[in-house]
Amino acid sequence: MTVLRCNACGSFSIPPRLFCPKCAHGVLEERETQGFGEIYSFTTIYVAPEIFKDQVPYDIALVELKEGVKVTARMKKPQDSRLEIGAPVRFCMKDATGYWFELESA
Amino acid sequence: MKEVSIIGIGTTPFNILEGKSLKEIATQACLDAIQDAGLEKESIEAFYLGNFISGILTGQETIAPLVANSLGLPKDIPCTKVEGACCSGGIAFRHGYLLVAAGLAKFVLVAGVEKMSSSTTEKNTEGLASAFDQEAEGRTGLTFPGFFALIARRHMHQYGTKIEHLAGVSVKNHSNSVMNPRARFRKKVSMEEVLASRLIASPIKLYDCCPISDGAAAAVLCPAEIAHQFHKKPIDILASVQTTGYSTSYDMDDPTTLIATVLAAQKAYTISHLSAQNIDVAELHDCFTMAEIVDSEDLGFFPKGKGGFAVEEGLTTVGGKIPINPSGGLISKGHPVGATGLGQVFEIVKQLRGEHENQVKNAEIGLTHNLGATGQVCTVNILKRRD
Repeated sequence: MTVLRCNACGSFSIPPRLFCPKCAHGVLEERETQGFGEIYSFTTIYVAPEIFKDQVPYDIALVELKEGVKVTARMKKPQDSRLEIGAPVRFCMKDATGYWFELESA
Repeated sequence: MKEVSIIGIGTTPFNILEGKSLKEIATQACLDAIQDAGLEKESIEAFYLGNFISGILTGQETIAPLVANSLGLPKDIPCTKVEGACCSGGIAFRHGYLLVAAGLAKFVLVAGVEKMSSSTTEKNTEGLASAFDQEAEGRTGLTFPGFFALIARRHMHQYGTKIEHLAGVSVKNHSNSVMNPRARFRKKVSMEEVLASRLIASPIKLYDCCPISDGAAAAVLCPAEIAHQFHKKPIDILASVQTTGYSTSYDMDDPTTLIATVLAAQKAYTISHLSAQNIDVAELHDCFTMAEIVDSEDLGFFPKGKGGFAVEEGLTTVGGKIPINPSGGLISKGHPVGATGLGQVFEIVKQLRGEHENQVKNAEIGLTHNLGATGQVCTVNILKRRD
């Protein structure tokens, strides 16, 4: 998973962007990450926009990566598992919908 | 800089206005405001119209001249649409205020309008979601109930806020709008009904959400020094502030605080030489029950994390320490998104004139707070009656 690192303040952010969201000054450099993190918050969507209607219900999480940056992600989740704040997750893929994360299996 | 006052207000009900077009409801609200100000249409020198998604929902754009023509306003004046998601009305109000404050116009008409009921729930959900940063998170299928659900889970995790606190906001606001003839809902709901209502985006349920509504509201502004010639109860604008927040939830350090509200409130209190303690009544942006709790903290009425407990203690009822949303708020009065900012002004002006159906005793200073989407736009007004 590609993230951006600011060469002025060192903080990470999610592409695409022109300026560092923390300091607005440095040059942003691409970095690869394995995408390990934990759930910062989550919700299950039951009422969706037209184009997402047939995916309902689906899970969305705010994931906080180990690098300290957050990203909004769709969650791949087995039927019988639960999402919880603090649950470890990892990046699995990126497509037109955005970033997909999954729960780290025990 | 001139001091500015509100000399006229007008509104339609906020409801399903079957068979009434956006053009028609905006025209009616504007006519009522001009009449309330004791003016002729020919006196209006500028028109600002707030609206969010008329294009997506009704296929109609370029609505400021459309409504101006429908109303019969003079042709030599500027008519401008402003958009800032659910804060469009607040932005329209503020731009009218700026023109009068700058001494560039004597009489300015400001309005907000939204027509939502002619579109499906899915279409409305999609239209509202267009306010997200599409590249960053709109494309994930996030919705606004979903955004406030993400906030709710954190608020509960960080501060011990309970689901019953959220439900309590809905119970209070439904009770408040029973007496409001402008309101979409006029029936009490119980805590049990709210908690049993169906999930929209967990843990946000149906009764935690504002309803799809149609509506328009308007006001006429003029310099404070001449206001008494036009209305016997002019309402003075002590502060009208607009700020900008984050467009993307993952850029927020802590989404349980919406920074645009905090900054707008601080600026408004500084300009008016007041504090949160001086506010007698507030109409704030309760698009969801969670939003009312967060807003009440961000506006300085309660410390961060205590807004839910304040609801439990009854501090925000009409007889409480700080009456919040005596109109029923967005949750129960309704939220025709682009109109809401002006709808809030209407309700607070009625309170300060001493003419509200759910009157806060001796209300002298009122606050309106209007928020756009993820809190990326915010307006705060502090209004005062004369005596």
